[in-house]
Amino acid sequence: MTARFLALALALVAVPAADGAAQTGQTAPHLRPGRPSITVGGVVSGGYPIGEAAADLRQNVPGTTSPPPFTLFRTSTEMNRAPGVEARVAWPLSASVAVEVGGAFSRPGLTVSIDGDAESPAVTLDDSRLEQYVIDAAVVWQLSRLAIGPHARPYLSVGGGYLRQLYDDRTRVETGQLFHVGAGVRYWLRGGQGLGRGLGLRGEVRYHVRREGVEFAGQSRRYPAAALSLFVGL
Amino acid sequence: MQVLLTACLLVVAAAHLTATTYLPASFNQIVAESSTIVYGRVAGVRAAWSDDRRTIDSFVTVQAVDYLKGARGATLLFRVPGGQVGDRVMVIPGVPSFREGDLVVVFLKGATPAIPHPVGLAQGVFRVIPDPRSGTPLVVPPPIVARGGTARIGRGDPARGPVPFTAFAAEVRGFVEGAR
Amino acid sequence: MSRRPLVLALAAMLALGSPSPAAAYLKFGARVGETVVDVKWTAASLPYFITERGVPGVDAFQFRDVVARAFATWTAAEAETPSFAFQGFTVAAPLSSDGRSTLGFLDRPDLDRVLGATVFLLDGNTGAILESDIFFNTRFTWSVAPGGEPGRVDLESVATHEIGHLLGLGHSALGETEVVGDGRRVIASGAVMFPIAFSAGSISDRVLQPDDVAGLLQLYPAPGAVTRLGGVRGRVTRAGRGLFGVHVAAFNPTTGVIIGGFTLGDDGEFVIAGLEPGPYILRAEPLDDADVEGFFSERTVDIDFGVTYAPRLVVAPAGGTSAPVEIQVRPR
Repeated sequence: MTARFLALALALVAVPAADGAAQTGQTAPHLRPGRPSITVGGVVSGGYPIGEAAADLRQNVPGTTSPPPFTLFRTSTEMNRAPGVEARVAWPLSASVAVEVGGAFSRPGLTVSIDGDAESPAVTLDDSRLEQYVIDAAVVWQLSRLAIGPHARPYLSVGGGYLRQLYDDRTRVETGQLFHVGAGVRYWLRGGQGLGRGLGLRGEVRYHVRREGVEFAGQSRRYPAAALSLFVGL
Repeated sequence: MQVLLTACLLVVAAAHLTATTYLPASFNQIVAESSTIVYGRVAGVRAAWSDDRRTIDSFVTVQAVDYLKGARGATLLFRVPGGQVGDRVMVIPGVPSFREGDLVVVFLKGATPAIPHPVGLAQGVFRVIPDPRSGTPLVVPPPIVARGGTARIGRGDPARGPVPFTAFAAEVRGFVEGAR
Repeated sequence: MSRRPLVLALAAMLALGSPSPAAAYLKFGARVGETVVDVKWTAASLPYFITERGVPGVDAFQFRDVVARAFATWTAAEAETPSFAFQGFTVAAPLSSDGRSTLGFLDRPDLDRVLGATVFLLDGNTGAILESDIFFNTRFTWSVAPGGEPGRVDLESVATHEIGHLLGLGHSALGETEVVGDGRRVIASGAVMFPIAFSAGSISDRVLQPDDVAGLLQLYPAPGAVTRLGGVRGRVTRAGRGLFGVHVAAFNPTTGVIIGGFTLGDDGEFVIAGLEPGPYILRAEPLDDADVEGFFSERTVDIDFGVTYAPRLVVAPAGGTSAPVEIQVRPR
């Protein structure tokens, strides 16, 4: 998963640069300091495991108050791949650096698999849905020396934020932190010229590190995500 | 939460609760330790103080339908500790309780003239209910029979459903005959 | 005042509290007229006596010390339990109605296979406990050795179980058994209050399990437990009809804790409370390997189904119960 992510990131950042400005003679737009932009789009987050557990009983072993466990059954749980929506506001600080704040919403499912039960065949439970909200901030570095033709420029981003997950009956909330690094491309539909010059598309892949939240083993989790958005400069 | 608690208390008001620590017996052992095994209907339950008025015992009369071991007559009396006399209730949790009309198989220990008692308390009592579809008497739950070696007693095992009384009785008689 | 019938009843242990994961199992209830009351101690302090009698390997003083440790095990749990006050030795035997709560050895050959038992004398008009005795059967060989002794029953383990009863707890069904040769043994259990004793020499039931603590907190809730802990609820059905006496185990995959409960009515409904908030996997199973009379009497439980998991995770919220879940089981 990580290798695929890196390959995609390199493709986004490096490969398009080969047919960049040199072929067209034009220069792709830079960020415009002090002029914010708004981005709205969709994101797909990859799935990842959130923990294995054993339902243990106390074994009948003489001579100890802490006998070894007897496992009644085992479980493993996955957070499933899930689509979502996100919106971001960017504030360019210079021609190549901007800060962004944003939010995202998705409804990932949890899949629980049970096995190792001598009294029942292995089963997979129905998915349980979560409502997941993310509020984060990021720094975006647009790579000024790289251009992808007259319309596009790659960028890198790094950020982190607050994660809030609600189980489907909204009776239980888990919170955590989400960090990410990413790479993407902005494509100005009008090449940054004339009417609608601030309008464009933005594609990005990210690598997330999630701490806490819905987590059954107390570990940090890593997973990829890909986003495709429409942005408009103000 | 309080509403739920109240509701739950009310719905369970008819059952008794048991509470001893005991050594488990296999069905084979229960049969072997029994002097009398009776299948019948509870005809009455009477509680009384002991002669020194320190303990209460309940005396259960069973109208015998069949004896699987050690026949004693048309009716049989056995004793279990605890019961209610007047406004005093002595409860020894773990001791099975009986109501008039209960259909039971009881594995009893104690030679005449002593009043017998169930082997291993609750372990020596099996309830019999009619099959909802056919009316055939069923023993619930089935006995835990040792057949040599080591085997986990799995809950929900397809082979361990309610057992027709006829099969249960045949199993008992097989052990009794085998012991002779 | 006319005498009203009192019937010992079974009640759901809607455990409301436990610092670590908890349990919801059976407790004692007494029907007084049209209401059911918990059989529990209401006084802040419970005086008790020790029978002045020893057995080979255990004298009365050792017995006193072991019982004190077993009481302390329960009072150390986070719950508002009464304190227990040793009043002295007595020549009176347990199981006798004398107005005193007495613990001691007693020769009861008729109660064969019973290591120990707890006896309540109740007021039939109010359900109040008048006294409660615990006896330990002299038919067995007992041990008070710190590490246990092969072939001897650990007195402290059995005392801990029986004191759980004395406090008002019933049995937990969290346990697995097997047949070995001509006999039976426990493979493992998830509660000190599992009714079948571990093998002689075992000392592990000196230590409470989460299921035990949950039960205790139901009867003697600690401050704040009601709002801090949660529960799950649902219904076990077969072909649309509720089942009575189904054992339901709630497993928290985050903490690894298992808490047991039962369906306690013909509607098949269950509530397992006293849970740490979070997700739970529910497993319904028939009590077909148990001496059912050790859990329910005067009623026949339904065992005609296989082990079945709830179709989805169930979430226990803090201070409340989950949305109901239906566990549909099938005949064997």
